[in-house]
Amino acid sequence: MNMKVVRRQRVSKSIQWKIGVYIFVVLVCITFLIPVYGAFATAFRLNKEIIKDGFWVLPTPPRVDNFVYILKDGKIQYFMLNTVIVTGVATVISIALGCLTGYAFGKLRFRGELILFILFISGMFFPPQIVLIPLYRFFTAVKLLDRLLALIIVHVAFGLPICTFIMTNFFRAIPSELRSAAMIDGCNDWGILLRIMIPLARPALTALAILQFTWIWNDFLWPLILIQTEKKLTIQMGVMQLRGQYGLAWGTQAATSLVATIPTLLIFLFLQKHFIRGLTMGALKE
Amino acid sequence: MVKKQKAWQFLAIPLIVYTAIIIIPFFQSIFFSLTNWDGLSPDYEFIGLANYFRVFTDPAFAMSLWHNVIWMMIFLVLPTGLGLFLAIILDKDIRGATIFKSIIYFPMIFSYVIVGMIWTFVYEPRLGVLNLFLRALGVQKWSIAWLAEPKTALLSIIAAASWQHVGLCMVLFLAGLRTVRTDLIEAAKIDGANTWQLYWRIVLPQLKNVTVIVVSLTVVISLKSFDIVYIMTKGGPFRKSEVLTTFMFRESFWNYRMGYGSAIAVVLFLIALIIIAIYIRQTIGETIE
Repeated sequence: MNMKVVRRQRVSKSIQWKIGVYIFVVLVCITFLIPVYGAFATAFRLNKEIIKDGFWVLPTPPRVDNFVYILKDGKIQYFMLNTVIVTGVATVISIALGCLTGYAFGKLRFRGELILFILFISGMFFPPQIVLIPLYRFFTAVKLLDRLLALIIVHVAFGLPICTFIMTNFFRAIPSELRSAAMIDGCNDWGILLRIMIPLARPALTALAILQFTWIWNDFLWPLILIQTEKKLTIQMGVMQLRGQYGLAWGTQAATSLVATIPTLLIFLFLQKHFIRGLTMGALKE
Repeated sequence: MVKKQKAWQFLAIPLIVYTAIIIIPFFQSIFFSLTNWDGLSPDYEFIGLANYFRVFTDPAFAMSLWHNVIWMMIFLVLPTGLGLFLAIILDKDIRGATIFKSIIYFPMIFSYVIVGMIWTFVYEPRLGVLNLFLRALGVQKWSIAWLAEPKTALLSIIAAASWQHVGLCMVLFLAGLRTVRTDLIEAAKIDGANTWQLYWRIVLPQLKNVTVIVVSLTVVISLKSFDIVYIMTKGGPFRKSEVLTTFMFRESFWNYRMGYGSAIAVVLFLIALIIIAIYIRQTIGETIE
């Protein structure tokens, strides 16, 4: 009898706890969504409606005027195109180089390996400020200032640490017997890398590509330093530029923000698993 | 043992890129930090450690560093703690866990520029949701211009950055939880451990490695934060939201003191170096042994 009461109390207490936790999680999620909702609602309303009712009213009916306006303005197309070029090229090259370093560190043994590996990896944490001024000077000297190529070069270099880290860990986990067997069949190291390792690494490559794409797409610092002509800006810097131009036109500001987020939003919607896996691989050794 | 020559075939190109863009400029920064270069004129003088003496006596530097410390401390408590808590809850099969996780991940896809834009809407004095909410609660006097007030500017930025950072912490803790040994948990349950003891004694100690990584990432991210401050306040008002990175940028590119800016960058790097060392011991030490 007594035992039953105690038990029932314990059960109801644990249920209370569970309900409490559940409510907490739901509240956190709602809080997380509110700021994004504000940006959406603002983007789909006219400026006079916004000034009258604020940012947070449901846009009924939703208006696309802001989007039409920024597209007609024509700059955002340039910004997006520039960013696609920089992000695409830098992502591919940094990963290709990451495969080379990854193979060297993961499958070959050589003197100075550890030091070189640490040298590459520690770059992950370098505050870019430590190379900002010399690079600004360097790109001015080689006449690459205000060129997309400068951004690509910087992103490739700064992508090397993470690409090296992920690819090294991945290649190292592939059994060395595979390499020995291929060697006996007359395959050299380049053949092994291209025909055996890289095809096997497809899941790691996908995750890494998505990670690199997101980071480079979202970069703001380098175009701020290295690009001067408006037409050559990448999108994050472009958003900043347009904000100055549109002033208090909230609707157009929100609309540019949403357009700038489309690629990463697509990644989130369709490739979320790879993105998350990339983050995990980048930080932890699985 | 493979000959060194073979490895160089693979390492040559990446190493050239890395050396040209990161290693050499790194040493150049140290060099410039010993000069009075203004960034424009072709010549400069060698002034020894003068920039460093100046850094450590500059109240603006002390203030920026302090702001980074505040940032770091809040980051280590709020997003990290919330990330761990949410990871523990959402690791179980509770109803809707997938959707909840996605919502927490969601802010990660936004750049700091966009986070700054979105949160400027939240903090807008007249139309922003925060003040709307506060006015609805009837606390009119709390509804202020969050980003323009010296007292709240920095904290408002950190709150926005935290919103984005929770997701990363949760991802890593979730990955850590997957490596927790279930047999130990079962054994503890049989021995009559309650939930609290289970987490405190069995689960959390096994998350030690992942915690070191989350903490070092969090510290580095709070040291490196630049974009979001630049977008939301540019360090203002009255430098009350200035951090080391914006301070360095201001001195170098607005005040044309590239020598001094380099010295700030070097100090920033030295602080980051501590974290780099901890991180490398944790992850790479284990990898190569």
